[in-house]
Amino acid sequence: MILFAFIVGLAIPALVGWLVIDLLEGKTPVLDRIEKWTLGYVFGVTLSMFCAFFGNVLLGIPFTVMGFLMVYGALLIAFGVPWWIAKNGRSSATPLRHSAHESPSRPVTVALIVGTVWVGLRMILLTLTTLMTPPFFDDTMDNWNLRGKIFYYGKTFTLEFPWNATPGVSSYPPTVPLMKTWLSTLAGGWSEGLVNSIHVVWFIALLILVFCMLRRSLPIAWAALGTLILASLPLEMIQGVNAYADVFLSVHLFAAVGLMVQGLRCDGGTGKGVSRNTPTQLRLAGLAIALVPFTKNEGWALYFPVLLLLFVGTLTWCWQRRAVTQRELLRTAAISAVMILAICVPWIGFKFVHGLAFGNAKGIDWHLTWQTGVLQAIGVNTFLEGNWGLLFPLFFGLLIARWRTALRSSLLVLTLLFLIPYLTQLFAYLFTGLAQEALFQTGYARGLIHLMPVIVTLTVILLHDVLHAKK
Amino acid sequence: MRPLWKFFLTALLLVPTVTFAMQETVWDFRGGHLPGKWRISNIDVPQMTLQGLRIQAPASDGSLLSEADVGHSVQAISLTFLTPRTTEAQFLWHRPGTDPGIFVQFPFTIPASMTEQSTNINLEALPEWDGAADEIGFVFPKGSDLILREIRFAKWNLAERAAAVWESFWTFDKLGSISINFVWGPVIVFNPVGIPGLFSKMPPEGRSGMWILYVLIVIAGAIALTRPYWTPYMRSRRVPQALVLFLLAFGGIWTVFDVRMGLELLNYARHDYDSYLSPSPGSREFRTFLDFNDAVDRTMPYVKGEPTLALLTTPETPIRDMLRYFVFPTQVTEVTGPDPHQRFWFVYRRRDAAVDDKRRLTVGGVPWTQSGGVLEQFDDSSFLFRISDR
Repeated sequence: MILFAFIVGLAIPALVGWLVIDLLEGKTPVLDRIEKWTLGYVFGVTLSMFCAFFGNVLLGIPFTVMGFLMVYGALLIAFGVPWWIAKNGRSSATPLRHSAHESPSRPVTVALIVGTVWVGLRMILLTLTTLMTPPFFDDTMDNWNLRGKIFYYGKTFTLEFPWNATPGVSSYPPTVPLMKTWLSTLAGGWSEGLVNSIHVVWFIALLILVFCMLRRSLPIAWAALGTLILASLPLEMIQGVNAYADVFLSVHLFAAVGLMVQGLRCDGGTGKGVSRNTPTQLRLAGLAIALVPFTKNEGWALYFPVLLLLFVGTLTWCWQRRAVTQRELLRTAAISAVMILAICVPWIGFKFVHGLAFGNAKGIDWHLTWQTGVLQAIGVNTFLEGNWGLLFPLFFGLLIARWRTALRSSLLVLTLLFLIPYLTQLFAYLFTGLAQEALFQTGYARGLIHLMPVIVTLTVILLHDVLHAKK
Repeated sequence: MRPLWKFFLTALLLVPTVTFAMQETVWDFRGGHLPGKWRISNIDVPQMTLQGLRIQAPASDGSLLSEADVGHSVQAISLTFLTPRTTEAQFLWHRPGTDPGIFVQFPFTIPASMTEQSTNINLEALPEWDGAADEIGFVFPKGSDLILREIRFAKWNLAERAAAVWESFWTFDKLGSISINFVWGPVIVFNPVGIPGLFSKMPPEGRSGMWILYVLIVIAGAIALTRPYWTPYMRSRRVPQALVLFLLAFGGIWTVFDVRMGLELLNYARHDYDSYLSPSPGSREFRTFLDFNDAVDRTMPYVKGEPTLALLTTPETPIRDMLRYFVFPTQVTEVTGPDPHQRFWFVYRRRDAAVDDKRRLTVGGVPWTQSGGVLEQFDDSSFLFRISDR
């Protein structure tokens, strides 16, 4: 029953997501099959839980098997019928396009295989221990799993805990807890292993998306290297296989900027400078951006404004470059605006109505004053602990050495998604009461987890650029 | 022999090769000996006995100080005491050149033992230790009664210190509650005393092992930058470009880090298997929560479906929130007095809780429940109790 719940519980939202993506692609498929299903899972879970949440809050649909199936049924009909009607005019999924045709040498192939086995072994064993041992970390038991359990047993959404009428964690979007509620409902009982397994799936989805993103512009060896680097980072792996929501947020952020970068590359030109694929990629990016506020509070408070800025900038740039026609520009902007408003207005409205916090679950002292010890703590976390290996010296070195590539190409989107939130958080840690998030190495490290796929992708692309620019 | 290898061999021979053997000065107080020049404050005059120097502080906290010229710098000390009671003492030292009377204090615990047991202090991990001290001593709390058998002042040679660096680099931490936010990574110490319990304090008493990697990176960079000078000496002229050389070296150094951290992550899994997954219920310990999760697992079959579970534990404990999560929807009630309405009682780490001869749960000898029985005994101060159905 557990295995059934796992497979079906993930497959149905993935199907919902896949249908939405296919509808947005229309007659211009831009995603490879594995990308599409991976993004379908990521988007589908968030979108489905959004609908389940509001189905319960507004229409009283309970968190029972029938209740969830009603929501999924409505979604499958709402997206499936138009898909069915339009499917005959569609092209099939495109294979992953990559610009380079280098085959890796034998030593490189052997090294990558060894690396994959080595990293894979860690991932498998750590995943097994997560699935077979009790929850251990605070936020799992205080927030993500706890709320899922409360929703499961109560069969309804609630902001209150039986022992606390106003828990701060209720301000967080219920996406992750509801997904656990859904799986437990399907399984007929609360199972720690089952509800914690979804985090590993998000981690695997992230690795797939990073590989696909890199593969579009780099040889397969480099794409594999980048994916291995990300998976091998100790803190990334610990976060990826445990029941926290930071990797979950990071996969949404990466999906959004990855699609924008693809849109900027303007593949699929029609020969007249106009890109056939760019509007599709940007519509998909619009969907990813729309879902970010429903992931974690930081998604709305910190990353959504940046993503919106980048999205508008991308649209503007494409329009100025004549990569999109005016009609497509307006259509893309309108569809994206509808998706963003459809998600943000209800969720943010709900938060306002119920007086829920928009930051982390703690109060913030915004009085500006230099915070002693924060710079040292940040330095230690970034360079002198076991969290990130040697990634940051390499990353910062490459950002400086290849600043033109980082700032003047389509990579600007990735670079800005790193720089704006990172520098904003640095300022907050150095000058406000948020300093304790850096001193205790909590919020600072989590912020890096959110941006890690972007950082690793940039590192690998810039590294390739350095080596091939020298030749 | 190629000129390059001649160069390196010559350089090696020119490097000072005077190795200092490990130095250790022992102050042995057994057999009535009294090394050092001691002065006391607020303690009874110490007695020189065959077993060692007997120190008693019956009336108040007291101190014992001595000049500390041992003839060499000191990296760690080993203290051997005998005492029937665990004693929280302080090790003192006076830094040369500082104001007289100003001492640095380092708290340490003397475990209760009437057989020889040594406490080792890694002094060079302490920022206030300069390698030597004018004076050293101890502060003992009121009521102390112990025998000082010996003090060993140790200094290791270069090879031993390098070995300690190597061993500490490959010493792994355990997965803790902080590990979701950061992991310490490799931590190095420069003597063997610092290795046991390397990660037992927060932060660990050592230096980040990442410095070794950065030094190697700098060396790799220097070698790459000087490529034009040594390339002519290479047998093969197909030497990669400087940048490629550097990046290959960087990748190799990163691989060392990855192997080290990968082994630590695998060690987490191995530890979980050894301590929680493979032992049978009743013998399991889960990471820093020890036997708590095992106790909860054994409790669940009894309380499933029950409306409430009374919790009796020490104040300020994190287990209350954890228990709430695990037994939900059963509600956990933290009781502070007799409560006849609670059917099930989760008693955890309460030495004052017991079951009397009338089979009632008592706390400090006072009955808190009607008669019942212990369903599960977790350890000598933890159990699951249920009142009898009427």
